[in-house]
Amino acid sequence: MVRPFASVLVALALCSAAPSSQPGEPFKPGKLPPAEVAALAPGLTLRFYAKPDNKTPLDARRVRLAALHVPADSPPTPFIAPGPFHAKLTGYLKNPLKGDYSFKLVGTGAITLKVNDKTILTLPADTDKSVEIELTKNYNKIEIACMSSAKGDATVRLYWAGEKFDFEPVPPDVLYSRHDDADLVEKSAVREGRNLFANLHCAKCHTFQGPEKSIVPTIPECTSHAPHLDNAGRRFQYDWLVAWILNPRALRPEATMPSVLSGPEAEKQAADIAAFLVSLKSGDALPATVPNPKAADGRALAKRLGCNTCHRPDDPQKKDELGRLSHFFTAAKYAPDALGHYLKLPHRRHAWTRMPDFKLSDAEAAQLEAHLRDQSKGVLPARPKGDAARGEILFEKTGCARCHTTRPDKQTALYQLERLRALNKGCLAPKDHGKGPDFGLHADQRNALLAFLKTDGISLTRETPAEFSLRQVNTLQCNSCHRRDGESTRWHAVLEDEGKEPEKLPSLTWIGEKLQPGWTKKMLAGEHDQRARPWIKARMPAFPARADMLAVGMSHEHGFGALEDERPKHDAKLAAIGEKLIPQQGGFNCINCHAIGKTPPIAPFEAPGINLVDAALRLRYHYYQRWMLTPDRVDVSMRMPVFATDGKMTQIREVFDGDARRQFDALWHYIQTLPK
Amino acid sequence: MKRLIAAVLLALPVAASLSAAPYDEMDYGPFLSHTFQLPNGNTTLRGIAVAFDAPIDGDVVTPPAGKGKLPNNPAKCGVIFDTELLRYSGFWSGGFITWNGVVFNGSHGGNPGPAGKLLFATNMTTGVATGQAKLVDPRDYPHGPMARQIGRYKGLHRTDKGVIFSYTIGDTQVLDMPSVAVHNKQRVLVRTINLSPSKEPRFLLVADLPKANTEADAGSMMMLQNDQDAIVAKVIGGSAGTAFAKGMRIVLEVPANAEPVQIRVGVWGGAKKDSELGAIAIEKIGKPDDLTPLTKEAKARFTETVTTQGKLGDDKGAYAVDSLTPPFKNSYKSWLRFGGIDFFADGRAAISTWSGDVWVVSGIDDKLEKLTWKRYAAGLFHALGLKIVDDQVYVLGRDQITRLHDLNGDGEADFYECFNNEAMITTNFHEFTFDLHTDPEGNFYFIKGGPVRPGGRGWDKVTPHHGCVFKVSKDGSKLEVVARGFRAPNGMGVGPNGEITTGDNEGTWTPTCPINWIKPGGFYGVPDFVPSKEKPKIRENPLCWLPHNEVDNSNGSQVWITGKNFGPLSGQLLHASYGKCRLYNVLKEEVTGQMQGGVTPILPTFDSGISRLRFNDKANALFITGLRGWQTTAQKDAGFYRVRYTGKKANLPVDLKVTPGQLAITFSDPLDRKSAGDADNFNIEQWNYRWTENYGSPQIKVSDPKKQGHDPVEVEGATLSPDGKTVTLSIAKLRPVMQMKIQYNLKAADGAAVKSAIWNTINVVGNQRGEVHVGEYRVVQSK
Repeated sequence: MVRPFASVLVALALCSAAPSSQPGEPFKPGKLPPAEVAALAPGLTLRFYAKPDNKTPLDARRVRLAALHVPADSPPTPFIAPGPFHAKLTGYLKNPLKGDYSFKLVGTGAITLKVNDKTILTLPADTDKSVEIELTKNYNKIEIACMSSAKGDATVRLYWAGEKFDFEPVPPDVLYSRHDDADLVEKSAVREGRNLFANLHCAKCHTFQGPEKSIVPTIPECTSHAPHLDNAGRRFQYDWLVAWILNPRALRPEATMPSVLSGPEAEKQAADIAAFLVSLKSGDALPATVPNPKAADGRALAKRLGCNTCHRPDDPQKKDELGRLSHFFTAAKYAPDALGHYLKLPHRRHAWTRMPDFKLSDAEAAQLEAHLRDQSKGVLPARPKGDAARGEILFEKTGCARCHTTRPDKQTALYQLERLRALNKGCLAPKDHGKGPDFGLHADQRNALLAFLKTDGISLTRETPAEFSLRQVNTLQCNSCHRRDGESTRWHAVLEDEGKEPEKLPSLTWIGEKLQPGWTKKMLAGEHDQRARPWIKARMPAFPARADMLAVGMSHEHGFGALEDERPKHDAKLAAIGEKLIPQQGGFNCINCHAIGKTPPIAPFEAPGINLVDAALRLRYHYYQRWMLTPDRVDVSMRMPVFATDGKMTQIREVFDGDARRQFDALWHYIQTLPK
Repeated sequence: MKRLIAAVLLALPVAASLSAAPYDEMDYGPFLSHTFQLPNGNTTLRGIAVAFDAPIDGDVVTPPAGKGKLPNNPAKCGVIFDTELLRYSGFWSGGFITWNGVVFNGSHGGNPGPAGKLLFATNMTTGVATGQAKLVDPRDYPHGPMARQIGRYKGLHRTDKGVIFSYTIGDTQVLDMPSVAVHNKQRVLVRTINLSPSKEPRFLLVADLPKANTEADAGSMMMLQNDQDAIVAKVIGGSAGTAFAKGMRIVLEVPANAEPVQIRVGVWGGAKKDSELGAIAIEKIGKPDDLTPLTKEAKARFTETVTTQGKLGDDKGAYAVDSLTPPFKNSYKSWLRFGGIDFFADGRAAISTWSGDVWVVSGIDDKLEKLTWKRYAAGLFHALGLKIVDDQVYVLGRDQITRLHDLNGDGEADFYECFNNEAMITTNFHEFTFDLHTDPEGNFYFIKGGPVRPGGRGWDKVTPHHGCVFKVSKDGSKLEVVARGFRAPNGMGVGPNGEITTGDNEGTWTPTCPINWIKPGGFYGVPDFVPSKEKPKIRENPLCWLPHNEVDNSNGSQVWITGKNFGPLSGQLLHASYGKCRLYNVLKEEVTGQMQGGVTPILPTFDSGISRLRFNDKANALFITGLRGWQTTAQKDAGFYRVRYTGKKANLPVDLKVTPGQLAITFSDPLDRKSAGDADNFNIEQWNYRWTENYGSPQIKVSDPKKQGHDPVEVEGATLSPDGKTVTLSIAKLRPVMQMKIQYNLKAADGAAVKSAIWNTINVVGNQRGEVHVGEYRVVQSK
């Protein structure tokens, strides 16, 4: 305990009932003016400064949590060179009810925590110390300023504890900051421009002139390839290819592929390119995966997998409230059986596709194909045949080959790249793209790209996993199925119309703190032999290309290094005590809901739990303790019993006098001894 | 052999190696009631299994003390009497029963059956008939007892010589005692039957043989054979002409008798090649005798009482919780998980257990230094409700309400009278029957859940009696349905004026746990339990909903505090959460005929899943029993508690009133004016649930039903009444809502911290009324 803060407490209490402050006046916690509340968004604002007293930040972005982790010698953001940095996390902590809370900082370097403009804690002075203060109902201002050490990883994590819960990371659903913050708006545009530059594969055609030399982008999205077109003749239908080449956005408004053909010859040229592509046939026709698959089976499977969470069957030009991709033209696109082959291995020709790998069996892939063919009603007009030889030349000439290869062994981007020069011509022209490709950029996208192009471009060679993971969670639409930060899922919204609920899938709110990144990586790569939750009918798909950085990034988001896991040293005596806490008699009856190795749970009534062998492998120790003590705070939809209702004692008084933490610790030691 | 055993042990699941099996060790007494499963789908929905020691030369008999070895004891024989169809379902040797069932090994699905070789069985038809030998299932619907004019089970006499079943065949009173005789290494089931006079012939089913193809009879002797097996039966005594009827079943015909008659029937079943040995053995069954003298009394069997010392709780708060230590260690290794409680006039308590016992507890005085526990009855089927009327114990089992008679006053029941067994049951593991209460007129009430499938979702076969509150007339003669639609309601309440309340358990068609205030004929949630083609599309509003994560995920009973000297809880309704092991004060109000209110926690967590509550006026204390039987945070298998009023300040909410724009909370004691007048000391959130067939419901935003989550409710002002007890909160946008949570962080007038929460439901406010429709919550303007 840091005692001097008693005076702070009094000061806070005095102003707690007063309304919010006026500009220039000291901040008064409590209600904020409605206009400011309207401008708030979940999360905190993270700013980086060259010097602590600078007014203008080097960079700013939004973070979900009061946490930060930057490994040694890594850039704190893509826009800042590696090395020591000054950072500030600011925003509000929205508290439901006036009360006393304790705060604790964990981290490296020099860190200060201010609550309602008063300094509460400083590191390293207050290492392992906590301070209790009164928080007002509604908005309390928080600010964490940190100066990273000259060497080593930089880490910041803010914990709090309340009357009925022990120290936990301050949860994202109480953190707010203004989304209209000028720094944030400016830097977000640059970030968005960088993303667009990468995702639209600008670097396939253009070099970016850096301060000294041309930048060679190295960030993952830049190095990824557009789909390989080998064997396209066995995979795609000619009429669809013509329509797609001519105007991708007519078939899919979200398409990133530009329209590269224009003028009176466009249609004929598209036909020629398509003719070239359908001439690409390697080997025999694709074998049917299984004979006579039934669309009804595919429909049932699609339901289980939640396909309609990300897809819809109707016309792509029709607006969808949930922003789902239409598969209206899917049947028109794929040659017979090719769709099944694609669904089975979506990453085969496009490592960075967002389409998940559900590890479908042959039969399942074929059933889904039958179902999709049954569903997708889009009909395309028959096109006159083009000239394949002309098409092959056009494929090179119009730039298709800059992004797409046509042979498995062929590399892309062996062209002379053009420097980006004019910012209002070609692809970046507001309207007339001339001979340049048309990406269909909206004004704000164009502005973002322009903002980014004003930077030195070195950010294309730097990546920070924490940002990558935030970006990819959006790109992959993880929130379609998984809740995060109290938000509903898209799956929930889809099923809501049918009066149904999706299965209870794990929330992503704490994933970066909860799981060992090594384990997460294997999960995202689809490398685990067994599923952690075999009772769930839905399937966790694999995204192998992203797995590694995504897993590490999630961990960094929560302020944890990839290998950070402060575990107690193994103690066989404690393990023996823990074993006695497992069964119904004298224990918590863990085996009722949890399997242990190959022994199934006794009666997992609507609440099956993770195999305890997996639990031992997956979890970080501190998260495990937090989960055991207050599972209801970790996930409100959980069905894990709360064994320590006051957050401190269980009803098993015979072991450690009911001390929940010590009992759970013993259980931890025991599950570590289970044969893997 | 030893090596083999070691290998088997290693392969056992961790669960088995970690814990002893208390169901296996328990001495259940001379009989055990349950649903039983015999081979070939031969089901006895309501059965009583009786065990016999019948060693044959060469059997290695385990000592009687090793009760746990029953299933593997070759000396054991067993027989099941079917109290619905009045037949002996089967007879076997080589063990007692398999401990398969949720109350035994926790199995979700499956029922016990013979743990030995089946010697013979009867088909699933009536076991009795009058007039003509028409032995079929006479029921329109194959669940529940048969019509009274055919026959009814009356009860079981525990006697010094064995168990006697009492039932009727038409107007005939029957006593029927099974026993086992051994001759020449052959085991024979011997039935001694006494019949009262009747003008009609009576028929009793004795045995069936599958695919019987040969019949041989000589009137008093009969044999059935198929390709492998044979059954031989013999009858001695009875009115003139008493003999086996011709046919491919063994049916005994007893002609009209003007005087009581006594009959003995011996039945042998086995391999065809051994049938001669069987025929010789049944020759020795002996003459029948009069059973009536045996039914007058029986020697006590459970003579060893257990003494425990209670633990007084601290008196720091307004209510103290004393713990009345259960006799977990007892000579009978009875697995104690308490399912019902009530009091005799002298202050002794009777407590039933899920495993089928009734224990009587004496010595419940101020200090609880010597509590004496005496086993009063055993062998009941999931005894999850108990009521004492005129000092007589009524126990609710899944099969029947049993009225227990201690005929000789030795502290142990001798006659297990079937008071009412008309509630239909099925083989489903989860259709528990819960609680037992009486109203001011003396009618009995209990509640039954639905046939939840293993895993928790959906139903097994549904009967018209699933998910009902039942009323049984004071004399036990009539059972009627009061209300329908309950999923798994572990407990209910009946108030001093006959008010009926129930809980229910979140699951299919139950979005979260409710407290229901029952209207006769009302529908409370599961449309599948309404026996009509048109299923309801709207359900009655409950008094309140309870969030499963914070308040109650699995309910217990409700109780009315009828005592006037119990402090601020006098006159209040309380609700127990089995799953959270917590007790709640129920705040309630009636608005235009609709009840509504909420709950607030009273005491810290209990160490067992508190389920049954009785307020004892004489003791001026609330008594609670708990168990751990299914999912719960409880860490003790059983608990018995006394809640006392200490006279100290409770600082508890005792009333909640909702009017347009205002929410008034009345506390038991005056509050600090400054803290209660500060709206910032209150936080209100609200959300809805969705009533669908899904297992429970997420918490859904009122502002956007497509999103999960809560909505904040702005508290614009707080004013304290002149007496300092009622805080009125101004809330402009007060509207009907399924769930509201009112948190407060206040000070009492004496400076004590008053921090807690109320979880409530607003069904009606002003002219707005909430309605729970399938898939959506609607707010309608009332006319």
